[in-house]
Amino acid sequence: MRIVKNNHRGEKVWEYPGEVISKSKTGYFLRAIFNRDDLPFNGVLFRQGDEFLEFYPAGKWFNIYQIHDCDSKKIKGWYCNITRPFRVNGETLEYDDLALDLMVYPDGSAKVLDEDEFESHNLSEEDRRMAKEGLLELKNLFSGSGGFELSEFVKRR
Amino acid sequence: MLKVQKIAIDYDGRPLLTDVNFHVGKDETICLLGPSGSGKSTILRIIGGLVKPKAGRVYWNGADLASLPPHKRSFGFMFQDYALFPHLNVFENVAFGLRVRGLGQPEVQSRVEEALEIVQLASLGERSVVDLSGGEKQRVAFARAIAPDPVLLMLDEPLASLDRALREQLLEELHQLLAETDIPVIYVTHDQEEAFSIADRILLLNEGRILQAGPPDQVYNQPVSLWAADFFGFTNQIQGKIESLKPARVITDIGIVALEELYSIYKAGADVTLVIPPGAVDISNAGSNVFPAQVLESVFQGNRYRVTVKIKGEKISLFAEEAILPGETITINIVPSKLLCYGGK
Repeated sequence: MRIVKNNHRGEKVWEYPGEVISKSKTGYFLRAIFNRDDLPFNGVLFRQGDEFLEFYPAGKWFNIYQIHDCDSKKIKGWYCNITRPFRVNGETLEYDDLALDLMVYPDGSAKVLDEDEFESHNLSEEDRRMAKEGLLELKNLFSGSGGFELSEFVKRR
Repeated sequence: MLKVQKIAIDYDGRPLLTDVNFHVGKDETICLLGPSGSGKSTILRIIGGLVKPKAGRVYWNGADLASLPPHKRSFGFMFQDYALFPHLNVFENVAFGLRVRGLGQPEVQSRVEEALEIVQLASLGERSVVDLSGGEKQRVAFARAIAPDPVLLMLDEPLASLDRALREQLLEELHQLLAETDIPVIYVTHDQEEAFSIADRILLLNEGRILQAGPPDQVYNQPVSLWAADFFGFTNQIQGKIESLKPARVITDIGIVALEELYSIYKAGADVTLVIPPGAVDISNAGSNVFPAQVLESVFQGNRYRVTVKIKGEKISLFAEEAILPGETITINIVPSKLLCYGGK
């Protein structure tokens, strides 16, 4: 399956292949390999070959990438994009990234990223509201008070 | 405390929940019991704020929660399989959610220590969760659920994936843990044994409706409908026709059966189904409903035998302390006060 990341205007900025682990009414679980050069990112080194377990929950305004080190297989963290709900067209899964991200580290500490960029985008009020709700829901999932989907995700490791 | 009022929601154009009403009192453990697909987990999701109902309200201490996002509701969850992080030790598993909430290290430290103390795992903080027994894993999951100091705890089929022996052991442990905390609890299960062991009050659900609510013994001994009796496994059922209301008597294929009473909603001549709980049948030749019966089989059930007998073509099960040989003829008495009667066939 092709995974296409668009910017907030719906323009393609990146695409890469992913293997479908499962799909259901809950959403899509995909596996992808980080195919770029090693990239230090907010205290985590994304390495070429790292495994990304990607969860695209149906109808939600976010996705969650659980990142495993290519050698040790240990979890490096969860990188979460705030997006409009994803769409699937044939063999392509596509989402519009709204810049706002949540990085959750393996010990549970978390950081909201790119708030300035999010604020600078020309987004509708509805997009802004849903994005902020998505961020709240994500924090909620990880904090354990309502982690239904996360519970499913964790089980799939 | 929690009040759920007239909740309704559809799924794929069909009603998933209809007119769901209940409350959870202080220190109370209520159990949502019902078959899979009856809407139990959806009720939790609505209470948690993850799903918006089509109609109805959820109140906490009188305040409508409709506009309160999930993370501000201070409700805790515990799931099937516990969903522990294998890459973290016991302490870190409990600390994880607290850190996501942005709590500082001193508070994380004290809350985790307190939660591990409650579940008696204070000495195992450094232990990998992978190395824990099933019971210890459950206690870590419980500590994680209570560490944020939730005002309400929701447990969604926490024991569903376990084998019978482990489930019984953990059920006992969980019962003790719930008794030791003063947090109100909503426990979801499809398993009646779990529900009866855990709950102060049971809400029996089917097809998105609460059919019956009450203490476990009352719900079990007086199922509100034939469906409820079926759900509890009361397979002894005989069709009949009401002969008279006073005295309460029903004509059946095994003969006339006397009941303690028949409510005035019934009419003489109406078709009814008599449900005979196994505990309503004694091996005795004295009583109001004495019948000769031929033994078909005795099945050992650990602490008793389940004996199946035949009375004029109808099969009935009863409990006995000792096995009875197939082919033997015995005399049984059906205790009128324990019989259940439902309208229709």
